[in-house]
Amino acid sequence: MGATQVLMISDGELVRRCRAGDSVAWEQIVHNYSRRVYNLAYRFTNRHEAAEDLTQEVFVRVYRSLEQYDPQAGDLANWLMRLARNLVIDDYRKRVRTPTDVGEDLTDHEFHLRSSTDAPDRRVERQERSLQVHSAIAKLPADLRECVILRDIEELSYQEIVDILNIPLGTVKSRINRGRIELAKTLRRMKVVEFI
Amino acid sequence: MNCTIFTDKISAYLDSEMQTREKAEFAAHRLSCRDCRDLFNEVRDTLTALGEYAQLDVTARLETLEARIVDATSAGEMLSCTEFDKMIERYFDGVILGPTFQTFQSHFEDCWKCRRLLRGIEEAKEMLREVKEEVEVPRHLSRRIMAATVGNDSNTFFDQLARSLKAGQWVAAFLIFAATGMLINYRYGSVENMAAQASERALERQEQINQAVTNTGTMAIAGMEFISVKLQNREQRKKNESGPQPSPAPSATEHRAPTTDHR
Repeated sequence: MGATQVLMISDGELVRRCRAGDSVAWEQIVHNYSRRVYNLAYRFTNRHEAAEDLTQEVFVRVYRSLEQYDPQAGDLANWLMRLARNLVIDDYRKRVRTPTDVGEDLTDHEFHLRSSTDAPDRRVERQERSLQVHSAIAKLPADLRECVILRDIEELSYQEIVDILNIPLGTVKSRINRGRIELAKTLRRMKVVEFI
Repeated sequence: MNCTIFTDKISAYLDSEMQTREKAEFAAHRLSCRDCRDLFNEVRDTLTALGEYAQLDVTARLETLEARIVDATSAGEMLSCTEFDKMIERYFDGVILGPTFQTFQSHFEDCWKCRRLLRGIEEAKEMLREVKEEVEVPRHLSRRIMAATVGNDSNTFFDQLARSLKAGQWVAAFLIFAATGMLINYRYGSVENMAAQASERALERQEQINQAVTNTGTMAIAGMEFISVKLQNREQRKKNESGPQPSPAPSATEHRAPTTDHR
């Protein structure tokens, strides 16, 4: 059975097949979620290689934990992304505590638009701006950075961030606000927000 | 609302986490304070930029990455020997599910150490099935179990003594013992000499006691003889003072005397 034949299969069915040893079903799960996981990892690591390693680590963990997934308890996407966020944030905190290579590979940045309805010049403009936003996020202090990414890029609720970071709600709110203000000031210095 | 509170509340306003009254105060301050208005606009524009950024995809080499992930999760390379070891119990219980079993099997095929381990366990299980006789339990096992669980495996007098005495008491007892030994050694040369001298002294003392007992006996006999003589003299004196006695009426004693003599 090819991967194209399982495209319309629900996540619950994919997991069931996967548990039964169907490697094609597992390939489909990897295909469905690797993009999201990789993007999340890249926002935190700033490096393609590190993001790839981290994404692989997430899927290895997912593969091993697949038996624990209960379709009745919620979507596979939520379960998988929760696991991915925990792992990515753990890794991020480890790296913040023991920084080994803080340099970011901005020269290697390749942003791709998900929709291609924009005019080419507008698309280039957005890509340039995103590059600067990415650079500005990287300059934020670690505690503010993780809150801003989770709130404004991953679009999690305050309570979800509280659960992931295991810090009080007031701290989460305060960090998000301070992070946004810091980011706004950095972007002003970089003259990014002026042309939005 | 002052500028500090306004700054703190920017995100609450943008995230619609603010009550109506507070929202009105916030809006009023934004209108009246130019600096705060500029800051608010910058933060709002930053959120727009973040939203655009979130829509962009940074997955440059996704296909390669997917192939890499599938390789890592299906080739059994991800399972370490330690993890294999942990799964062995579940393997024998027959509860390893599909994907995990594939990994388990792949590792089994790739790793000769784990292969040997698993076969060893299988052989041991087979041997256990064959052996039906019970093995003698070592004598010390129950004490060892008690020691490991309760932490107290015997209750003899010496054990109780050992538990009841503290370290300081043990040291004091040892010092007393050592001092006694040194004293004996200094005075008698050895324990044997002390015993011999004690024996001699006991014999001497015994003789002295015997002598004293003999003397006391002799004196007692002499005293008794003296008293006896005194009594006889006294009886004699009484007879002499009272003169010759009239012939008494025949008493029962004298009447019976001839009978005694006849015997």
